[in-house]
Amino acid sequence: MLKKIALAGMSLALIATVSLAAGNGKNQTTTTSSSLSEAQKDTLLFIYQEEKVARDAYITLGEYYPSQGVYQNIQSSEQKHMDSAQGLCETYGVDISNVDESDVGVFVVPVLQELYDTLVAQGYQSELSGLMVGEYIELTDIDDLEHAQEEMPSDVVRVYENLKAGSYSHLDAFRGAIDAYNK
Amino acid sequence: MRLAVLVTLLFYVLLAQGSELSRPDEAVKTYYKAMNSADIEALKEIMVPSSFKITMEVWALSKALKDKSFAKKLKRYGTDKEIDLEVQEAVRTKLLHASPKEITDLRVIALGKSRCMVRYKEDGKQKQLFTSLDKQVWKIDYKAGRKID
Repeated sequence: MLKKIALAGMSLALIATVSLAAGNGKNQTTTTSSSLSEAQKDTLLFIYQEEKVARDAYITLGEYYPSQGVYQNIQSSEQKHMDSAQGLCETYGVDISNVDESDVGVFVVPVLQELYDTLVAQGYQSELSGLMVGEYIELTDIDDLEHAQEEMPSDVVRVYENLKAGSYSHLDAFRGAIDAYNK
Repeated sequence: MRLAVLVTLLFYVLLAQGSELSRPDEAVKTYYKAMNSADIEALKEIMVPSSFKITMEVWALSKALKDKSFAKKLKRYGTDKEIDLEVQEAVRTKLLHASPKEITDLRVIALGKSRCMVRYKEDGKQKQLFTSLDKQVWKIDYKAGRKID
């Protein structure tokens, strides 16, 4: 839902990294971290927590359906997304000390607890439902990224495209698993 | 001239009283009262628009995951008044069937002049909500979790 903004943040970090990599010649190190507005920083914190929802949902459903390997692969990717969001929070001085990453499935903000509970409850209905929850999460991410591209400069859009490709890859994995399940 | 001064004074007295009535912890209590009584309008009043939208989207999600036609409508939430009303009705129905939640031990922590975090227990579990000042009224604002100003 709001992942798009986290990804926007990640894009900025990636741009900074790319710029550093581009300036890898001697005495050419430059830092191009873009500054974020207060609203964007607020969103980073919220998104960091929302990243946890997706990761925890995949962890929980992966434990519930241990023979379904798709969760294992994707949850490690979601952890990377969360790490990126955390890195961004740190880069831009956003305090995340109120978020306990270690407690899987526990959220202090009620609406995030509701989101997690809804996704997991639906996923528990059946193995197929669980896979469809994954498909839903990824489709929502892609949709959000499409919208996030609006009003963004071309370099950010390029990074969005890469991130969207990642979500498409996850979507393919879930759809592949759904197809395999239906055979 | 004297009348103008009196009117101005009265305005500020009323304003101060209004601020007193809309404390951050009161906003959280109102939020729970609205959720427990499935009062969507009251919920809308006590939240900033972006947080209200998130609330509707999240609470309507369970129906969307079971009903593809509704899922399509939920994606368009905020763009069409009829769809908005249908989504809000779905949320209202879900809230009516949800167990009411009790909150205790509310504690307000300032995050700047215009922001506060409210920590509390919801049915014994530690929770927190953020509030921001919107035209002299404290409103629930999920994204106001950072300390500013």
